[in-house]
Amino acid sequence: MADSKQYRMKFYQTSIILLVLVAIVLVFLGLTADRTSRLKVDLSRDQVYSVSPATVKILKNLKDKIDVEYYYSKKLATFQVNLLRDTTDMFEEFRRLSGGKFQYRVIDFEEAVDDFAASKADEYLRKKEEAGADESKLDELEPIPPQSPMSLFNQREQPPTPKQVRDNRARLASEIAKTSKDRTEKEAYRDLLYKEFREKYEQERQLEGISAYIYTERTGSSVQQIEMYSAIKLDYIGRQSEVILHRSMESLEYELCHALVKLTTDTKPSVAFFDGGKPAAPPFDPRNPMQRPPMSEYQGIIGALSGLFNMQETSLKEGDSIDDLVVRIKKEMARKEREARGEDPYAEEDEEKYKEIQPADYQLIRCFIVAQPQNLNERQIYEINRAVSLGIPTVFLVSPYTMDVSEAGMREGFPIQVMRPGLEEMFRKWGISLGDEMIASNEMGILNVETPVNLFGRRVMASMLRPIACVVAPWGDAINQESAYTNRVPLMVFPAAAGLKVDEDALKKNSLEHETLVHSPEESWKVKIDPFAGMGQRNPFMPSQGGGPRVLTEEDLVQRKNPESFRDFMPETPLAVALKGKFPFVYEGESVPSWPKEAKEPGGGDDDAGDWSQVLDADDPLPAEEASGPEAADAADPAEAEPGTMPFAVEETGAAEAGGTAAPAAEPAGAEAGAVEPAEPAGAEAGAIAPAEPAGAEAAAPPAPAPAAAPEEAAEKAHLEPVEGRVIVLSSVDMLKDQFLRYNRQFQGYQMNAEFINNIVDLFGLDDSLAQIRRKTISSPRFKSDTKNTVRWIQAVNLYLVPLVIALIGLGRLVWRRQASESYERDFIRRQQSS
Amino acid sequence: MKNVWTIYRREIAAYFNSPIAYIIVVLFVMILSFIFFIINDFGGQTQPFIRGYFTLLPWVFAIFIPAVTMRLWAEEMRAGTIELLMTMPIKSWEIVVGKYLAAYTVILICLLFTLPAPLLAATAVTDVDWGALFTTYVGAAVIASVYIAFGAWISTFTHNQIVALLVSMIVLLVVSFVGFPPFTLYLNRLAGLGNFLSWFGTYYHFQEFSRGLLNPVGFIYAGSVTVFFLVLNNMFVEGRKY
Repeated sequence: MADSKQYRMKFYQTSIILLVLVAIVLVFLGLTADRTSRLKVDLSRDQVYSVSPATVKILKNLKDKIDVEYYYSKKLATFQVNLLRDTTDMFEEFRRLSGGKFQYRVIDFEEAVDDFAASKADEYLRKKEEAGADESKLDELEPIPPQSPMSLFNQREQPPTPKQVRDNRARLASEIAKTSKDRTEKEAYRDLLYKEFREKYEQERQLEGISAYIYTERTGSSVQQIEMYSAIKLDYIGRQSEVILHRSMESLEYELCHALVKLTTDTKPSVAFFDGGKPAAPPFDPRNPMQRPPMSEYQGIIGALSGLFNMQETSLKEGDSIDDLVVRIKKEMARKEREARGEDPYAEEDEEKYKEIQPADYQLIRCFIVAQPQNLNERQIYEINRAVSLGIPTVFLVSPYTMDVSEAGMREGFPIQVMRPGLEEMFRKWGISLGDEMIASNEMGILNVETPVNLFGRRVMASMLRPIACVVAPWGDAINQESAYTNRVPLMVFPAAAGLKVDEDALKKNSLEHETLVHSPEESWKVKIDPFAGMGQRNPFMPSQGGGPRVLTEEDLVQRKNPESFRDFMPETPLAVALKGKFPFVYEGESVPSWPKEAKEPGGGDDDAGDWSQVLDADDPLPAEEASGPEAADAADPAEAEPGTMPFAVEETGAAEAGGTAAPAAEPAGAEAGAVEPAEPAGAEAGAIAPAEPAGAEAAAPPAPAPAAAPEEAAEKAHLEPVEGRVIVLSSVDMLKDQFLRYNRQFQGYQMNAEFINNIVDLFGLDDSLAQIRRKTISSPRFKSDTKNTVRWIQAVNLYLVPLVIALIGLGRLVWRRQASESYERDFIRRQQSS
Repeated sequence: MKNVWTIYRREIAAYFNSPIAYIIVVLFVMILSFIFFIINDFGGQTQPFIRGYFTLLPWVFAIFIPAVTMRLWAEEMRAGTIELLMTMPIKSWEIVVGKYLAAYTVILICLLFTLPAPLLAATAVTDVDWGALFTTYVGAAVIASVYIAFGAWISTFTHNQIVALLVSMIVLLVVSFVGFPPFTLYLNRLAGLGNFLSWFGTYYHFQEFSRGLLNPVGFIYAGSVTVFFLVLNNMFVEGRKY
């Protein structure tokens, strides 16, 4: 018995010790669960739950605390059921990786509104009782909705005074109490107060960028609209908050890192932006001192990128060259360094030391965007080539065509302006050339088109969204999803694109690698643009009407082609190409082109603006082109023009010789640029080959293509050792213009264009960190085509056939067992009987 | 180990010689398929995620596993065979482990018969996340182990199988519910208690697996909890000897 007792005691002791040990292990693991996430093995298809090394780097480099608030709604769409958990998991991972600097709070928006409104209403009522008759003490507590920055400009929208708000509430409470049997005036007053505080809270969050969005959820039999909140607010030491509208986990890591970099970056990387079509600043007008300099047509993109980058616009003119830009950036950096050291940032110092530029200094320009180059002079081409060969990653938005989709342009049927970038020779030597015909496709983007509408029996013109064939919208397989540049860009828009030709041999010879990022969709075709189309229809009394090629008058540029009857679909043509390698410097060993002589304003104003008689200088081929007569045609001869002149220049010459029609396309664009006054007379008088000239540029009188007779005496020999660089050539100048991007709400492709350039600049400018994160995608499963019956069949198999098979197996086994049992019994009885 | 094998074979035979195992497997497959194809309307979804088949698995397990484990000890006690079992030259832990493995096999067979659903569904869908599907099955097997150990222990309390079934169901539903986001958020008001407790529930761990993650901590959790309840089970069984 003693042995049994001892055994029992020993057994229980051992068991309890084991239980305690296991429990300790469990609690320990539970407490350290947050720190064990690094042990996870991510087998998911897209490795979405593994934080990129780039993210780890960003988080480890955080210098100060980041406060993150995630506002969510309990009621989310079905596809978002795990959003809260996954988001919290990611935040937790970020917190751990940042060493606690990433601090987050998860806030149920509805609950937060209720708590805020209830506590404020109670506090208000308490203070109201304390204040007694002196209600002015409540002024500070009144729930007056915050004013939006825009409403400050609207004088009519004056906010109500606290007294007005109070009196109004008291009046309403009194009215409610009179009409309602179950509510006293005090209760009604509290309810109104509560509602006002709710609205105030919601509006305050809305001003921060946190607002509800409606999601329409469709199930098999119903459609339900869900209003929900899902927004992340990030705050960093006194800087303006960043808000992310959080819809899915797919891009959260990137968006968080993007916001973190944006908030915490002290020195933004510099991005140079050259807009070849931007009108030069007009001379200072003392009568209008508030006159603003002309804006780039890419202002929206410049603004969007300036959140993360130091956007430096350059005109590539004397005094504003790439070297000048580098000097400016160096000075700015030195100033900031002095400021950080607590010294006077504007102290006088030796300017000369900045002017010595080392090759590494060019890397201060992290990206160079060359947008709509037009009639570039030799020195500008030299500057661009030099920048690329020095290893500055460069993006070209280049095309022989642009279309005017401004309000004026819409009324004109979208005039097409023929462009002459001037970079063709340089591109050709690298191994790339521009297409010469405009591409149209059955995959179309949309534009607002003025359309006749019958309104109460009257025919009026109304602008309506309509797909246009020459606004090519590649998607799916037409966009390279393997590339970091185009990753997560499902759809894009290339208006007025001519495509690119890739010369594999030339690229190989130059040891340049290339990658097609976007090619034309399957059902696309080419349309030859006649720069003189409709010239005869020009209205002499209204020079802005008629003449010049227009999108809407060319059926091929507008209408869809029936794939069953149309046989001229073109093969896939690159619309965007990425190049990598050491780009040849085409000026190597040649004289450095001198800066062209600029027309000087007599009054000492801006070089490019003002007196048009000055512009019509005999040394300057541009005015010569604008002059009528055979001289103009000679001056425009492509053989004598700058390298890479487009073939259509020959036609221009011919036309000019034939009689010199007026410049039709110049005017609408000029009108758009706000430079109609000088442009029109020039165009009208000259009547020559102005299709090649942008009216905006005309109005501003840009430097003409560099004359071949540039002064030789001061010319030094160009020499440069090319370094590894990257170039992206996009074959549409319009794809990022504000005029097109304004359609981003109506057509996702425009938004994706912005996303695309953002990808590129992130990749070039932020040392690959954000781009590495961006490469991650969550593949979205979809049903294969024609699988409706297959799914029904699968459903039937799993719901009925599989259970039936199991049941039959069970039944079979039972029958077999019964038979075996009976047979055993029979055998047993037989054996018994025989024995 | 030979004794464990003997007990295992005896228990397996007990399951499959009666209709109970077949009924459980049929109902298990039918209910998961019904939730996936009819309630979640797999065919009507724009993004048909196949791992959605297992969305409610912890709750389905919480209902079905008690049906498997209820008889493990309650039946022995009701029929009086436990005394016979205890007098055999077998250690009590060998009986506990043998019974546990037999019940686990039944659940693995249930999971095996669910395979046609995702495999067939995958033929109609693009971009199937096979990694996540694999880890979901691993996760299902892992949490099943926890539930069976729990259910087996509860079965030692009573002679009545129905009582064992109901008590196990309630307890396992609570275990499944711990870690469920709304519950966790509610408890988080108490100094992060929700997050801490969620680690002890199966939901959190299963979700990790179902997203395509193999977390060693999930295995350690399941191993610890299983061992904990098997030891408790052994204590209760051994206690009957004296």
